[in-house]
Amino acid sequence: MRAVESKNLICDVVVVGAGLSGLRAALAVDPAYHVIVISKVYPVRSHSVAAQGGINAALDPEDRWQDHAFDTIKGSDYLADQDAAELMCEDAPRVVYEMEHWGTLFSRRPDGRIAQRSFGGQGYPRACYAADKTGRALYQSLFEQSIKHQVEVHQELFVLELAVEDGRAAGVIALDIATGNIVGIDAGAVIFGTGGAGMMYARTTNPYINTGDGMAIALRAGVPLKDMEFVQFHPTTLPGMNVLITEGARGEGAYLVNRDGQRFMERYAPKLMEVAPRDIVSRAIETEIDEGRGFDGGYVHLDLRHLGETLIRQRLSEIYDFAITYKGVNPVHNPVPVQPGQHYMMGGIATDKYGRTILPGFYAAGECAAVSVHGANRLGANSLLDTLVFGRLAGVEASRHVAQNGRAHVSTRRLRGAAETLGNIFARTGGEHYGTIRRELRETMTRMVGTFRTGSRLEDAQSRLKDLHQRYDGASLMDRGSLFNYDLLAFLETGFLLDLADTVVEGALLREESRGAHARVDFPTRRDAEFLCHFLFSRTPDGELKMAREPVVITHYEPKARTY
Amino acid sequence: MDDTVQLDIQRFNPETGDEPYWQTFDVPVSPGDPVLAALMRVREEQDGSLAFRASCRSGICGSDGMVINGWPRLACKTQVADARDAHGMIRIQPLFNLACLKDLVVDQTPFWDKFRAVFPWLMPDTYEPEPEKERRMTMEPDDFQLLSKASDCIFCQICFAACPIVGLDQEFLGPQALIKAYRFEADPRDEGTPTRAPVLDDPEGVWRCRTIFNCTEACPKGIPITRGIQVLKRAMVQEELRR
Ligand SMILES: Cc1cc2nc3c(=O)[nH]c(=O)nc-3n(C[C@H](O)[C@H](O)[C@H](O)COP(=O)(O)OP(=O)(O)OC[C@H]3O[C@@H](n4cnc5c(N)ncnc54)[C@H](O)[C@@H]3O)c2cc1C
Repeated sequence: MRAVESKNLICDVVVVGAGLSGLRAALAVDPAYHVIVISKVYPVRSHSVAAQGGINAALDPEDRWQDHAFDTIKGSDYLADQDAAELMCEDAPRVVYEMEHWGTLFSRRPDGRIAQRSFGGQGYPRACYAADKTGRALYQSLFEQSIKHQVEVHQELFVLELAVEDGRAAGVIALDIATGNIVGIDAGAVIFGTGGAGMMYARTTNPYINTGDGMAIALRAGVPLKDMEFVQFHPTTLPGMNVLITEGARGEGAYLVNRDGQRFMERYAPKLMEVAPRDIVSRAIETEIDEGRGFDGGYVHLDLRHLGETLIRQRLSEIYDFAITYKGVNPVHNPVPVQPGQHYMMGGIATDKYGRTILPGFYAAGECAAVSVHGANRLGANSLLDTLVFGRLAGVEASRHVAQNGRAHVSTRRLRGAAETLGNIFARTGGEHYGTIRRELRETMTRMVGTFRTGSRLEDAQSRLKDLHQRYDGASLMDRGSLFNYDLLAFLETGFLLDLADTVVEGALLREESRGAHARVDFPTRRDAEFLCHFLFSRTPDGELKMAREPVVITHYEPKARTY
Repeated sequence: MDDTVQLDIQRFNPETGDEPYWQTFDVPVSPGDPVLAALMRVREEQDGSLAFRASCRSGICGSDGMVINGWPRLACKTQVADARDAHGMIRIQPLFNLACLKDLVVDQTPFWDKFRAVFPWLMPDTYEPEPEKERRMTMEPDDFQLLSKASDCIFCQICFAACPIVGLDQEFLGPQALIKAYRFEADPRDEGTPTRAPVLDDPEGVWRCRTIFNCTEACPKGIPITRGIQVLKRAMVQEELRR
């Protein structure tokens, strides 16, 4: 391996990530400026394409965006910043119409209007959908627009570092996966739309590529992460690969049933039943399993049979296929086994509602950011909305920054430093392989930092993480080639995941209350007096984590008890 | 893990040798494992240098197209139990019709160039910066289902690898670009036929398809690609008559 610096790219705005948030940001940059989008995979492999169930917008004349905002805030267990949630929900109808104009093929009602279905925690059926492939439908339109508008995309470039020069973001440093060369990208502004970090957990609906790179890179560059202790577990994933069964299935009327044939949600959320928010349904399922009312192998049943074959095969066609492919179960005739799995990171790079971070010229949007609109628990079908609303705003803000401050330049010293770091990794021999370290990390997080948490288990997790970090520092590679070295990529990704896991566990330990997705068995109630605030984590120069509190923005909605 | 499978993989690394070669791995598997899970295990536990692309693990992102037992498939949608032969062996090669860069990683450039050539976006542009009104769209349910199915393409390149014409004639647009064009042709909102016709109504466009149906058979999303191309042919004739 020759970790050499090669070509440099120069632009006004570099967007890292070609998912919905990244592409939307790129399309929002002032056309006078040169944008480059970078992605570690081909754009269409970004995880946004996997979204199934829908995107929320108060389109119906009977519905109001204010109600959408209230549902979002209540769903967040009052940890969302209310001004940001209001901004997002007010913008939602515009976003949906915009995507429709760009070609998105939404499912329709008989009168030709966009169809909407119920989703967890929503007081009105306001999730617009394209069967159960909403992410793909939205993504294709945005991707097509990016081609039409000739957005310059460099795929299979793996970003290693955010370059900070003279107190501002100056670009990024990346590894060209096809050649192994180091590439510097000079820019006036940097936008991250790098997605989630589900690979931290053994049971996850996320793809292999969701390794939290952007969040960890920001943390290492001195930008704080917010709300990291809040990790969403989706109630219904197929045991094994943990492929997602969309909430839309329950939105269409599917039941959750335990081994005694009981619709157990009536004991946990008597009003909303199966379409209660995800944190509540996931805990209900875990409780049923823990108390012996699940099936052997740790799952309950999702029963779709009464919905009928036509509805299942037309509106839930993907999950029909998943259940057959991965479990050999035909949902028309048999109930589908489901268990909770990691699904979404509420936390991420701390931004304001315009995507700005504390570092001038650095912006973030989508799942890698915490604005925070999702607070302690994201409602289903609000994330796709988040990517499009805040992706656009980040693109607009980045343009403004470039207009005022011009371009910047990644120093040669920094490029050389990145090459050296890689060189050192290649030079190590005889160490453990990342494979065992990552597997242990994922097992530890799933067992000890899952749906239910306790102080002692979190402390245990913390000491295991310390051990994993030490082992990681001595770990070495199996592949020392330059071309398509996936061994190296996974090694680097494991390092990102370890850094992020620290913040998740630390936040979970410090938050001695139960709120949204964060359920402490030893502190079972919400404690607003002490904890109605965000935790912001940053790294001190000597690598220690430092926590600061930030108040939650409250506009109209006083925190109340959260019942459904 | 209670079982093992033998993966016979075609390897190639231009850094270390000019010729592809075959290598066998014995991999522990659990019931229900797709081929992708076994490949991941090889990379994480036995040989980190094995190169293949993968992401979503559920047949949505289209990353892991490869030739499994002589036929292009998605590794994440192919069960080990179904693919192994009587000796417990599965043969894996890179996709046909695209140049191999390393192991199972192929050069996708020609595929994307063809896709871009068909003006793959909705026309005309009704774009308004602040759209406030909803545009209605009504279709017969069956027609909508066909359109919706055509829009299921995940860019996995499997049809491209399965098409014998693509293998013989590098100029042919190929099944993916054509089904994409059909997706717009079938959309009542689209008016792009005159723009796309010069590309489609060409000996290397729709007319090169010889209705062999390999694409339709191979498509992991079950898109009736050949049928779509036939509809496009009819549309091209109509467009010619109109002009
Ligand atoms: C199975 C599933 C179903 C879902 N369904 C829904 C739904 O119905 N409704 C809803 O609202 N939400 C849903 N979500 C959540 C939603 O899909 C995601 O949160 C959202 O799509 C994230 O988009 P993004 O643009 O932030 O990131 P992504 O789409 O994940 O894109 C991340 C991008 O960053 C790039 N990247 C990352 N690291 C690097 C690096 N180091 N160098 C270079 N590039 C990098 C990647 O290549 C990729 O292009 C679902 C999630 C899952 C897992």
